[in-house]
Amino acid sequence: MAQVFNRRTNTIVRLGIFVGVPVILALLTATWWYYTRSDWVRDVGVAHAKVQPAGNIPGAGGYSHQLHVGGLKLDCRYCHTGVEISSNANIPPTETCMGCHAQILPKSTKLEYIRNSYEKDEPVQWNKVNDLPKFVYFNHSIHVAKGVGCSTCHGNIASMAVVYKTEALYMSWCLNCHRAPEKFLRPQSEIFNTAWTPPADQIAQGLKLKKDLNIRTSSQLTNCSICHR
Amino acid sequence: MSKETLDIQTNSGRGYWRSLDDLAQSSEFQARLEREFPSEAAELRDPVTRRSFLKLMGASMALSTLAGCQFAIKQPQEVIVPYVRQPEQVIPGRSLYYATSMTVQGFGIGLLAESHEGRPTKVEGNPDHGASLGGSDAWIQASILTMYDPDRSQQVLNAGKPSTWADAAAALAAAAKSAGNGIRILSEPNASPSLGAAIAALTSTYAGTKWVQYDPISGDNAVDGATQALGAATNVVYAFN
Amino acid sequence: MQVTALSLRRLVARIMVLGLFALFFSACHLDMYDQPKNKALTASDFFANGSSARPLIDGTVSRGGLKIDARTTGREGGDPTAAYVTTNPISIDANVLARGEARYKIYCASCHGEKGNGKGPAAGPISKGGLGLKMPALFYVDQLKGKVVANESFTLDQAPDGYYFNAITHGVANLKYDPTKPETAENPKYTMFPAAYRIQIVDDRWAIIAYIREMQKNPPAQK
Repeated sequence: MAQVFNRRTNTIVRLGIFVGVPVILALLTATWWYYTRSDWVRDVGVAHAKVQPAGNIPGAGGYSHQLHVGGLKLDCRYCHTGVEISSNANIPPTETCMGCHAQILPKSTKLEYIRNSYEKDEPVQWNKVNDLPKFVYFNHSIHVAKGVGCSTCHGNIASMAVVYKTEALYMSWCLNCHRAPEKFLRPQSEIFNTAWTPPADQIAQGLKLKKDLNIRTSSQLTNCSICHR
Repeated sequence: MSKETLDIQTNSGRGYWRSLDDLAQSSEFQARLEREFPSEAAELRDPVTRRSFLKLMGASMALSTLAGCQFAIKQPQEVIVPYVRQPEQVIPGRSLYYATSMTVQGFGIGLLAESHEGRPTKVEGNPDHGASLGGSDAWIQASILTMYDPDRSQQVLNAGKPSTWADAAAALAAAAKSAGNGIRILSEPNASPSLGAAIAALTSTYAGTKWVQYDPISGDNAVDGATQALGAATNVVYAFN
Repeated sequence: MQVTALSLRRLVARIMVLGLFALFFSACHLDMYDQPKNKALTASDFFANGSSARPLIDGTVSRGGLKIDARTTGREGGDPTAAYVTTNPISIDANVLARGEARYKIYCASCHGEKGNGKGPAAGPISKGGLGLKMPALFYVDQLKGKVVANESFTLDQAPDGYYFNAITHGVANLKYDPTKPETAENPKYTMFPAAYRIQIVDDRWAIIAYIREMQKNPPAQK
């Protein structure tokens, strides 16, 4: 009776076990990672170019941080008034836009949606760029008060014509700083500097800031209820 | 009874029963089982019955689950809707507190309502109010839900049809004229001085007017008892100290 | 052969069903990411204008929101018809001045200039607007001499602190505003929009005024 399997089958089976199974596992892991943990799934770096403001208003010119912050040197807090006193940084009401644009470019069709909103008392809708899950209780004011600057999370807004996400906002990323804040802390005078880069002795300076600002220990900062209430 | 006794005896095998009526399979019991609530609770006399409400809720929940599960790998795009004219007091993300009151069994209870961006979100007792000192009860805690009740009365209704305050006043005046001294006002108990003054003014115009206050859940018996014991209509306030 | 094909088809069907389930589970965790609760400024389909942020009811006063003194109204005794206060109701020290300087640079400098000379980056574009507003060197007393403030009994160089406070809080009204016409570039309600909802801490407004007074006393060196 002839052999059912010839000698070559051994090689095929070994290949299957030692190469095929790991490859399949790796593919599965990569797929899982890509769909749940990657920058792609969180839209990092994707400019919501044609949809700011939301709703595809025909002819509407998108708001440009590059022009207003980079060019006109407006401070972040001119519009985001809540950032030092509230959990929410605040998106400015239409009135803030009109404060200047009642006189600047008052007839521009690109700004018609602003004037419409102001006259008809209908709010402008903006696409949310950094969308934290609703079970995360993030508070802007404490971060700003304790030495975390805008650009640490939002990137160099002053260079963005259309704001995009610079961080994927995974919990591991949050913990990265909550475990070792000294890597990211900056002096109070630099909080709203969108182009800040860490100095060469960042760790030493960060540790000093951590002490001066009475920042809690990493075990306190990684307590679940710090962010999840 | 004899037929039912017979039924019990002829029943074969193990049977479970919750009451003697159940065991006897009396016709009364059968009728009660057919009703919605065996415990004899009154069914809601609302046009929306409990059953149809549950059906609708179930369907909408199933649909919303499906909507949430439309193979959304990415988080759906959300929009931020700021104010057009932001009130001076409002700091988005921070709450404002308003002193207010609510009528419970005729008496105003001093409350603090928490408001987020103009939306009332929580009601607690007002610590500065002498009667509650910051305390509240289940009704007060639940009262926040009435703010968002879709069945909450939004406007003046006349025989179920939308009307205006001016029309209501005119209709009331006409009714008062024709009724003359036979006016009766039915309301929940209310200790409000301004409402009392308004009704006193009405009474002085139409001498025979009577104000009837009725509360389905009232403390009248307790007050009657206190009257017998103490000689005057008294609210008992316990001092646990 | 018939049997094998059938079982193969069954296997494929089973895998597809399992895959569908897997997709369901991967998607459903987003339900917790996006809950129906309203955080600040979220959209809402409960309210007619699509916003969960509501206006406050006229005439209501929140706890601590009562305006009955000079600090919250800028007027003597808190009476809205009384004269403007002439002295700053908060006590001024180096910290307050530093705070005022920082706040000035955030909220005022884009038009009025970092040095109070009316040469902020937005001043030029504003002068090209419908009213042709000229950004005055607002904070130098000698340049304000003789400029009468409409409906008031003082000139701009003698404007009391309370006037500044009310200008910040309620804006500067455009006196030629015609309320029967829409608010356009030629017919704006304000020449300076109210900033109370932006400078929400009342003492910050007084700190800014203190800093402006300091600039008027010792004008910063101009380049």
